[in-house]
Amino acid sequence: MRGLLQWLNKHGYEAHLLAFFLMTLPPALLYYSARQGLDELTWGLLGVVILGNLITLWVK
Amino acid sequence: MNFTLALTPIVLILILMVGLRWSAARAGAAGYLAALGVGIIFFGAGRELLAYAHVKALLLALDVLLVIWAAFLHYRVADEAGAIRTIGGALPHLTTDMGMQALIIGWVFASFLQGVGGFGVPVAVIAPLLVSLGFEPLAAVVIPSIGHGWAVTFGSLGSSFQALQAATGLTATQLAPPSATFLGLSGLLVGWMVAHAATGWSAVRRLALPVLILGIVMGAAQYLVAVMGLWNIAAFAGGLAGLVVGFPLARRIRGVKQNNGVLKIRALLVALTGYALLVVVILGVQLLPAVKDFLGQVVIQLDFSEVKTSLGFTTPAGASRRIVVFSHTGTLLLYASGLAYLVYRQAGLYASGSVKRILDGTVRRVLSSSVSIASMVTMAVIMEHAGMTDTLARGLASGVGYLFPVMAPWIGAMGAFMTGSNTNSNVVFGALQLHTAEFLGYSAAIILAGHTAGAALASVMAPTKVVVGASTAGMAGREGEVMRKLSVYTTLLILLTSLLTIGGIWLER
Repeated sequence: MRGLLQWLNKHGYEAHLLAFFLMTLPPALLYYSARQGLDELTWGLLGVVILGNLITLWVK
Repeated sequence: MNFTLALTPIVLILILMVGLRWSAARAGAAGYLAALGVGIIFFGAGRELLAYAHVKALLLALDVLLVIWAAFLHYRVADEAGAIRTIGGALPHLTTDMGMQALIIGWVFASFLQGVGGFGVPVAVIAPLLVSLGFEPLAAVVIPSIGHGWAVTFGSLGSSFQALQAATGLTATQLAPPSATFLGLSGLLVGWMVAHAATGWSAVRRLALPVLILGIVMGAAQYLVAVMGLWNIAAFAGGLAGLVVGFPLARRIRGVKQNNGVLKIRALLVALTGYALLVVVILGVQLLPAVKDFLGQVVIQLDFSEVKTSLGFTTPAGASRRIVVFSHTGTLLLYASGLAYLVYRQAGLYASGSVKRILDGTVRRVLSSSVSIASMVTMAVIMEHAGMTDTLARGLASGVGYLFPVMAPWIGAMGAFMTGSNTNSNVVFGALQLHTAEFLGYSAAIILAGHTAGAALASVMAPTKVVVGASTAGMAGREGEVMRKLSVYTTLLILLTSLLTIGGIWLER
């Protein structure tokens, strides 16, 4: 875990790029999953967006 | 209790950015997580509601980010070709009067740069230029900082104004007239402030007439272009009109004759071609119906069902914002960037590897802003769908009541100061201002005009911008001095905006 956080701090650009994709790619699928009532997929995709924001939180 | 909870994400961003000096991207992510947590636990936001809020947020963010990305790409295309240096270098040839130099470079040229670039570019480009002309470093940072503020909302090729429309659902036809009026009138005061920051009260008195002429010309040009529907080039048009009028005006106030080298007219004309192409592309698409129809065939728009929180707050069913892919402002900027690149390359202005440097520079510069916008837009949309914005608006309406028109520009200003941008302030507070105005029965367009004007004028004081300006003028570590000087000017400008908002509301009634 500590290694991951150190990597995020050292590679701010790459971390932001990854976070941006994690924040913006899932919503396209979310539309489909919400309309189809796919609970697990919806929560999973929301989890990916949350992960993107958590990564951003650690980039100093 | 609910009001305090709904306020949590916003207060959190404020504390993290101002108190702990976090970046907008980090604070935005924290605000998003707080909004999500509060929305789910205390406001009863469920799975479907959150899913739709995220999808709507993506569309809204795309709408704004397309403009931001393409605007900065266009700037990089011109900068890599040396066009910005050429235009900036031509200006000191006009006059050696320091007050007039401050007006032409720190106000008119700064507004032009804000119109086409933004993102701190005016201060970063102009502060070192003024230092090289003999200005004190503090004045060299303060002058362009104040000078470009009035052009921020319609600057960066309209990205902040685009965000205001996207966040509130109001149209450019409703928002442009009051916004351009407030900003134009503030711009006039900005001119006198720039003269004051340059050489004190003597310059204010001596240059009263040039300030009046330039202020009226730039404000009127921005207003006319914005209300004609060409809001994405309104600040650019204002700055350009200022340059056109400023050239002969500066020659009348030449100061002491000095040897400033040779002005290369051909190089200047080539440099300006990139911007002429931008105008041609935008006007061409707006004014030729056949072109507009042809490019308007591919549209992204989604339908959303009604969603409800467990507490009963309802967001009605409806279609999302329309993104017309090939005639979107961002796409038009891409066409203009491509054409400008070809012209500059034909003129032999690029060294090898320029394409890589342009693209690399663009991505690196806008990536952090893109992450913060993605987080903050999603936070704002979740708050709106969970009923948090509604709760805040009701609380604000009952708390400040009839004082709300006075407060609206200060809320916008606070948003811009804490998030570092007019765009972010519009995204975070746009819907809140809209709902509060509706509850109190005030004209939403005027309140939002006061909001965005306050945000634009205060955005120049955002710590991120001040740090950039101070570092380019050799004042790194002395940011506090810049902030203190700017705070006096900015407070007066926001006070003026409050008065204009009250005046606008009074006239509406």
